[in-house]
Amino acid sequence: MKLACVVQRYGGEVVGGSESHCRSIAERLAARHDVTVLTSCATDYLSWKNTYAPGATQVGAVRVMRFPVHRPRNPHEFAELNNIIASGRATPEEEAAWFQENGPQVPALLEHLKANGADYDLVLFWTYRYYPSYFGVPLVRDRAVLVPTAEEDPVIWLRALNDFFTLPRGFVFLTPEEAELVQSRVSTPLPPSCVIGSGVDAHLPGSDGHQDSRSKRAGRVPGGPFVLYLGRVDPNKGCEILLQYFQEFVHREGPRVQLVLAGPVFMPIPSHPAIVSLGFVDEQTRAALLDSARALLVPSRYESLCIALLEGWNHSVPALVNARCRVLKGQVLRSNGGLFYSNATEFITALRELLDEPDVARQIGRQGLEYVDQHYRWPTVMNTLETFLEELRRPTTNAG
Amino acid sequence: MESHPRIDVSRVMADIRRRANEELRERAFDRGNTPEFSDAELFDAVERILRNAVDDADRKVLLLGEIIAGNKELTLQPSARLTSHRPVVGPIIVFVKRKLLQPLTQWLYEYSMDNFRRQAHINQILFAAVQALAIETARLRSELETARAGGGPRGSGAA
Repeated sequence: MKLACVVQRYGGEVVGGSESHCRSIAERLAARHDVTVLTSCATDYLSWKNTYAPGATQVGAVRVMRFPVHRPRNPHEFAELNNIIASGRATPEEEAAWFQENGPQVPALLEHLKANGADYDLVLFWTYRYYPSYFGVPLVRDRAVLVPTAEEDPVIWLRALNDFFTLPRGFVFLTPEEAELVQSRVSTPLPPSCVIGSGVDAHLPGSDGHQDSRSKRAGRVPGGPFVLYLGRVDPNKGCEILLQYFQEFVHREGPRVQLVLAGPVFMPIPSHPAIVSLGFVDEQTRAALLDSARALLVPSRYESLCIALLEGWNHSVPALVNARCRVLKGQVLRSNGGLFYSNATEFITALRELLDEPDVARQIGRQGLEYVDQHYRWPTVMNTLETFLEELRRPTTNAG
Repeated sequence: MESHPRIDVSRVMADIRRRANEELRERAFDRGNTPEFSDAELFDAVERILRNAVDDADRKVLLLGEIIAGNKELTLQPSARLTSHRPVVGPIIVFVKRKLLQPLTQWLYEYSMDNFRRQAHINQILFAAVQALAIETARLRSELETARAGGGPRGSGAA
């Protein structure tokens, strides 16, 4: 198949959930198909400043075409539009303006789709909320496959999406909850879809070097018992509430466990003897932390798929997740790989359970690993995706 | 390889929720000055009503919100549009506001916006709770009237 993958940013330096997902999928599809990635020249998702040179280039097995960002994001205008969107009372013009300003504004990419879209068998779009997908899908709707990466945030309730979600030829979802959320936004049945999640490479204990030497080398893994948060330390990821609940736990239970935060910090961290913030950690430290953690805490309210959760289960670590996030709660219930909470008392009781009952906690972690083995290994993910794409292409080929 | 009995997380969670609720009830009773919560069944019923109301509050179209939607006095207007009513110098004033005043007051703007957003969210949850209570009241009133009229209670048979 000749496939195009449209995504807002692409490259080795680009860090981001949907961008990493796109890259992992594109690289694997390129082993058997002719894959071109269509993207912007930006690496920074806040300003969308052009960083890469425009034009075609090769990144591994993937051909990448980069298009210049016509205008960087105006932060004031965008903040104002965000507030209007959050109020739930945006007009159709304000909604359209939000998608424009959210960017990255790459009109040349849209021109490319208009002129050459029919050359591709299918065009896969990552993340509905960005300009390339929102304005690109309607141009090639007969061959557009949307990977929406939708979360239950205010944007999903925009009225403009009632029609938008009926346009693609197919959908690729990360979880059943995401599929349900997008279905709830349209009055007709969705086009064909599949749920693939994302792949995780099997973790072999000791594969990153002996744990003790790793820990010593890194010098960042606490000696005593600890629970772990992995990822950006940000109020939008639920970290403010997590810190509050954890301090309440220590207040009631005493300092029986530390909370280790491993990820770049975007908020003040209280000075507390039981809270350790490591900042960004490399892959080896991350693995060492996961090998020793008593539980992985996932406090985010908005997720379409949580890679950190899968990583935790890959190391047989039981999870404690925010029940207000349907995706996380759904994942935990399907896998039997964790517990969940919807208030401070439940958080404290559930964490106490995981610490007081190590056999139960270990078994819950093992069940998480079994779930990852069954559903989230790359061969399984790619087999589901490629079968779906082949099926989706067939009627077009017949009709053409 | 050693095999371990499978654990059903929903059963573990049911037990955790029961214990968490009991702890919450004790605190609400002892320190909340709410003697009604000495009755565990009553507390469970109240907790269930409020939890159901709050769950999915973001997804619900709420009657109270719709009723007051047209009333500008009751509508949060968090966005601060930079405008001027002056016909000639207006664009210059807007330019100065945008380039000078806005950056200077950005911290205050962001602080206020954050709180406006939280307030809007709290409002949404409170509207959902009020709606759930209104439904309960209407249902009980209907059952009471039916009972007064001599018939048995009708409706869902809700506890």
